[in-house]
Amino acid sequence: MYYYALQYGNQNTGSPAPGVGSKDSYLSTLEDKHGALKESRDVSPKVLSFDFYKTNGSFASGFGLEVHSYSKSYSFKNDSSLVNLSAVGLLYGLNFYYRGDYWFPFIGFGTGNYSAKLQEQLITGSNTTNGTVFGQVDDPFFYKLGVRIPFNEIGIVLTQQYISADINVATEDKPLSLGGTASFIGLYYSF
Amino acid sequence: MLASGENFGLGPLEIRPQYLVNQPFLAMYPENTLTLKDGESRLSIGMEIANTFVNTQGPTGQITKTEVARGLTLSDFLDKEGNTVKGFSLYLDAESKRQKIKYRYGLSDSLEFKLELPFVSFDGGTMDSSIESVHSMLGISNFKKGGAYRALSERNQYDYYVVKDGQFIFASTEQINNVRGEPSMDFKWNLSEGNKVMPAASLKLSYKFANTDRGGEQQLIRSGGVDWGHYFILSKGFDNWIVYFGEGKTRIGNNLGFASTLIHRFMSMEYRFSEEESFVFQTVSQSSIYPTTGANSRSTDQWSETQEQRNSNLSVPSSVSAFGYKFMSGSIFWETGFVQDYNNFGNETDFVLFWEMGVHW
Repeated sequence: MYYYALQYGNQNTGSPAPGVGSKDSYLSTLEDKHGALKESRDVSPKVLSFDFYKTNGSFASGFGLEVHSYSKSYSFKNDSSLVNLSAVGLLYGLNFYYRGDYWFPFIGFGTGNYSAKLQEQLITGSNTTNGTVFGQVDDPFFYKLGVRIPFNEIGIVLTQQYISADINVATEDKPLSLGGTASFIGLYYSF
Repeated sequence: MLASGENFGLGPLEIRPQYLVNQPFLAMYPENTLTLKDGESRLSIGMEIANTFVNTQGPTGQITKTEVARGLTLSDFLDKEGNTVKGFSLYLDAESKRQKIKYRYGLSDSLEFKLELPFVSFDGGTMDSSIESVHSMLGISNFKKGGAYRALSERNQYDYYVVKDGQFIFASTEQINNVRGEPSMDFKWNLSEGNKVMPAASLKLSYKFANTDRGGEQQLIRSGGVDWGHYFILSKGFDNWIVYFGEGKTRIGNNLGFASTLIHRFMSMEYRFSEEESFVFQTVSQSSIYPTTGANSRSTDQWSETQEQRNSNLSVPSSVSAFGYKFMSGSIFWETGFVQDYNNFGNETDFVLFWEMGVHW
């Protein structure tokens, strides 16, 4: 059994994954210097995934590969400093399904890597400093739970996902969370 | 001989990092959890061809065709204000060809020994125009970072310059052919074959011998120190799919000013479309060969990168994806594939082609 899915949703990067995540400090350090963030820490990832399963009666276990991508711009209340962030995550892991009559609840966990590009334009008085930082998280961890609601080969998938993925931003030497707490909805195709 | 089991397939793609600066050092690479049985042997030969292009002076236009033609000096690696750059500056334009001979022997049904000897060539190669064409087709400018500033340089040339804190570590424009590298040996122990629930597990230990003869071109291929490392590998079968995970570390004895350890991780998905053939998709992450330095990663330039910023970026881990085909029938086997980096930090190869073939008995 194979599933292809495209999902879209909301991810709060400021909300650490319970049990595995920790509060980051890169943006809060900048807030101390440039004022509070004007934007929330929410991002809107697009998630493309591929899963395969081995079924055994009403249960199935399998492996999934998913690509997450998003971008976000942050600005500050006290000056016109800017931070632009774009991130791509390639996550993979094990999934376990219960195959009910009308819905297939699942849980999963795994790892992978995140790549990110962060551009800063920070203003202090009359001085402007710039930085472009590339980073990679090569030991993220995620767990998720959700449900697939099948309508023949096509169906709806709902996912609640918790991701721990902090990069160290070299300009401040502080961690920035690329993961957090996410809710996704999407369509899948099975064959 | 390598019969398929619940949690075994033909295995991941056995491809090591090909980045020029990594070549003198041991580098752990993915392998099957399965070992040869007691008394079995396998002999193989293979080749890995990698194209690497990095020009840290590209954004400021300090190194172009003109400077390369007259021969690069340390002054070309100063920043644009003429100051010495903290950390690393690079001009790498080469194709590496790493040929290898491997011999494996089953010491018991779950313990395997391997000996590997590489022969390495560096030259200008032939892939530059193809890579630039692919970049153009995808809308990536060869005059910009995404295209690695390839358009500033002549195609199919060989130049290998690494500068650290204003001093050359490597400065080579003479092509080298089939220089014998330092041999390495492995012991791989299959700890468990797993079952329907649990994965198979293996531990691989590798050791690179030191050859202190590093005169001339040999310094590009030999570190002169002992390196060793480990890889812990898991595999789990789901009918025709087998998934492999691995996590490992290389300890570098004589690091020549580069990183003293490398962290490795891989994930491999093998689809067995027949008993004898598989397609494999694989991702490999590795920490950078460049250690973190105290270089300043901010500047006063409007939205531009200073060399110090690029230096900071060199030290982040990198990832590549690989696709390959594996075949095994009777006493012969064959594997081939290619590797593509997908984050272009300047600490990974652009493109790698590889194949390996052999016999077992």
